[in-house]
Amino acid sequence: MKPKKLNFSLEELLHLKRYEMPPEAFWEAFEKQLQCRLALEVERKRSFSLVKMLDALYKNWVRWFPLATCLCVLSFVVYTQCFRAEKLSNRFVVVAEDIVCHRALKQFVLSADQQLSSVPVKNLVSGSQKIVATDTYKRFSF
Amino acid sequence: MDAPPEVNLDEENVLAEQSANEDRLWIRRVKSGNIRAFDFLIRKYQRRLYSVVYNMTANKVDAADLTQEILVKAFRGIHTFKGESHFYTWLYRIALNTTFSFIKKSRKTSHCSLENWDDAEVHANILSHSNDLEVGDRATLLKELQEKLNEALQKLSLNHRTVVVLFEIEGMSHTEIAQMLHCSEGTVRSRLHYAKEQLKQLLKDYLKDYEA
Repeated sequence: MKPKKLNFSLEELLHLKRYEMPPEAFWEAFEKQLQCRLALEVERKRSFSLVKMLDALYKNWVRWFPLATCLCVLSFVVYTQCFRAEKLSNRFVVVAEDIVCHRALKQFVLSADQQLSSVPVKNLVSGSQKIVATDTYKRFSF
Repeated sequence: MDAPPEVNLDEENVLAEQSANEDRLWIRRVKSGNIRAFDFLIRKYQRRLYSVVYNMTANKVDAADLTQEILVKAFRGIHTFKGESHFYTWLYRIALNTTFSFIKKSRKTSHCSLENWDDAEVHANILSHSNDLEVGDRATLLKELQEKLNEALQKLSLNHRTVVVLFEIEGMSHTEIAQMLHCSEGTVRSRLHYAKEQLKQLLKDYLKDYEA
């Protein structure tokens, strides 16, 4: 049997679907449930902000990787350069000190020699001053 | 002579602009940390969102769950909303993407007819808007017709169904739909035409003025 036709066009029928809405009681329950979900979401946001940041970093590692590598290489180069410069400057200080010590000792030994030569032999106990001075001189003149 | 359509369009534009400004204000409040301000946006859009999702999925339980999911997603991502488009365009885009994913995952074809609401109020609401039928006939016939329409809608492809729902049921313009679906207005018009032809074919026994 052919169904009875209604006096509706397709557009009118579709427009009627606008009124196909749930009752008010449904919306009350809906809103309550939604508030719970939103409250959980707020809590989650607060607790996991750090985790989220790390997660974002992890997810975007492809973007950060070249930059991070460049930074590592750069800091390594800077560190090694500084360390080398410091080492060199220390060596210069040591060398300079050596030179100074060397000259001073030379002077000291010379003056000691002069003093020794002027002192009568009988007054010399063991010539320990000269020995000490020579030892020190040897020690610093490597 | 009919009233000039420009006046109505202007009025509509002014109202739309007012609504958009109001949305911007509330969004700014949410972004500045006032979480309660989001309630306003929920109350404003929840029914419209529900309607879209319900007409796409034809299942009231799924529609309620998806609508909540959409609103939570919107809340989560509101900081990424830059205000380049209207808020509702952005919101509907989330809604459509979420609904598409859900339908693709579940491939549900079941539908929920009006009786499933268990509420006479809903049915009465529809009937009150269709007063061109005799009282005795219209309840039964309209119910049957709505069921047939739901079935027919579910037979349409996802793209065609979306266009019909947004244009004919939600009353959006071609431009707005094109923005939401990231396609041209021509595509929207073409899809709409094709979808309506399919629906008419499927409901030819029930509709007036239709000869296949």
